Amino acid sequence: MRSDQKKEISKILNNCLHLINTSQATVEDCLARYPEYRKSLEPLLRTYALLKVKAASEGKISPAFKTKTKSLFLEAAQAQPTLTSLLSRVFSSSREGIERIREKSRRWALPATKIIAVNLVILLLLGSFTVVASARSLPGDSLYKVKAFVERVQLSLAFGSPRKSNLNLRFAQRRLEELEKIAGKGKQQVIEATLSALEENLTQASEYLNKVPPDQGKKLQKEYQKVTRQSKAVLERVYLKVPQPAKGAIEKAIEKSQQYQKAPSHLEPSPKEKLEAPQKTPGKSGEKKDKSKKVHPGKSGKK
Amino acid sequence: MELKELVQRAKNYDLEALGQIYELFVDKIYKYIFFKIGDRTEAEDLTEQVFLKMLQAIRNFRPRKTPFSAWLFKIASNVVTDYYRTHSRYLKVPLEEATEAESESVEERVLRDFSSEKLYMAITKLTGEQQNVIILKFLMGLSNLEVAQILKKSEGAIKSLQHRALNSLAKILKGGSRGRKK
Repeated sequence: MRSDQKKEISKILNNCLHLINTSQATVEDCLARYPEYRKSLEPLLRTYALLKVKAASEGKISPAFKTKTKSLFLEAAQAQPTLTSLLSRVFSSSREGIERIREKSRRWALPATKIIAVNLVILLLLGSFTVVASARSLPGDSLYKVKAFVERVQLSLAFGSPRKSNLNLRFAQRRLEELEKIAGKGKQQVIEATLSALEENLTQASEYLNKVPPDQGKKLQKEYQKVTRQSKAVLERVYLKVPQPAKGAIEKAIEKSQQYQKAPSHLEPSPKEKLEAPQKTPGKSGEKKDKSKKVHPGKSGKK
Repeated sequence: MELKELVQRAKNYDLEALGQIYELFVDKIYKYIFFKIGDRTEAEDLTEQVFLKMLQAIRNFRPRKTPFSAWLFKIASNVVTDYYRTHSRYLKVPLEEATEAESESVEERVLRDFSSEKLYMAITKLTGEQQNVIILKFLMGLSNLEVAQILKKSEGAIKSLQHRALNSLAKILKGGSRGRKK
């Protein structure tokens, strides 16, 4: 096909797409309008019609997801100014110091580049101090919002189900540490909010674990079971310390933590694997695995 | 309120403006990602990431340099690229989301029943640029101008690109169906 002919078809195609898209014509109408180009146009317009129908029936966002993500998004947006204002508050206290350095530098005639470098070092140190300080904050503290926001961002930036699952487990462990620390002095509301954050972390860890291919999930599954066992133990200790009104929520959380202890079904050994495991005829690999437990005749029997 | 003003307010983390921007773009971003990767749950995760990344970067957005939609789609495109980098071994095909359209004709029904898997696999065989134009223009319904801004090309280039993309897709679909019958 010559290039000017190609250009002509591109132009006609664009015109037809517009007419079909605005319901001013059908595929047939367009083909009838340009009979000399029918052979080239028909497969293009039929493919377009297929895409149009698929676009209308697929790729629709679920309303529940849309609402959930919007609130997460706005929550994160709310935390942004908090983070910014916290940083600026910390920075403003350092402004006096910076002014003093400037004053001295004028007296000592420090070069401008050195002043900038000193300022930058101070700003960087103070900025990272705020985030580090937030990491030690507890539910109910003013810096806790920053901690929660940093976690959400970390989760959203983690790629792949194994990483997301693992990160949720780490955060679940943080929630358990926090619960132990606030149990005796925490308000009922704060304790309940921490419990629901723990539940969310464990649920998400389990959901992402479900998506991990079986050959990659064994280690993660062990970690998951370790954290859920830990969760039950911590919650039982916390139950003894929390004020009476919060005990009901802890009881519910203990019940749920028992459900979490079940491993995702696709990572459990199949009944066939379970049956076969102890009956395996010892081959080379079998001998290696069982060395510590079995006494074999001959040389290995010395052990 | 115009998008320009919304973006200006969003740069100061104005929640109302951010909420409106989210409503304006969430369906489009989700659809773009869904047709790029073919998995609903992963598309939801990645959509969430796009908006969080937007939040982190919005202060640095320069409206004079790029239109906002093009900037946002660039974030989505980067998120998809990162996803492919880590998930190339576990790519899935789209779920059949057969939603019955109202007043559907017989012809439309036949088209809808055409396997999404087959279509998705065909789209993945196109070049990156062709995939983008098919998704942005035909599956998401953006105008030539919008596609041109997102892909940083002229409208004329988009017209010839859509021609080439439809042509390649038609050939793949024709060849693919023959291949499967064997």
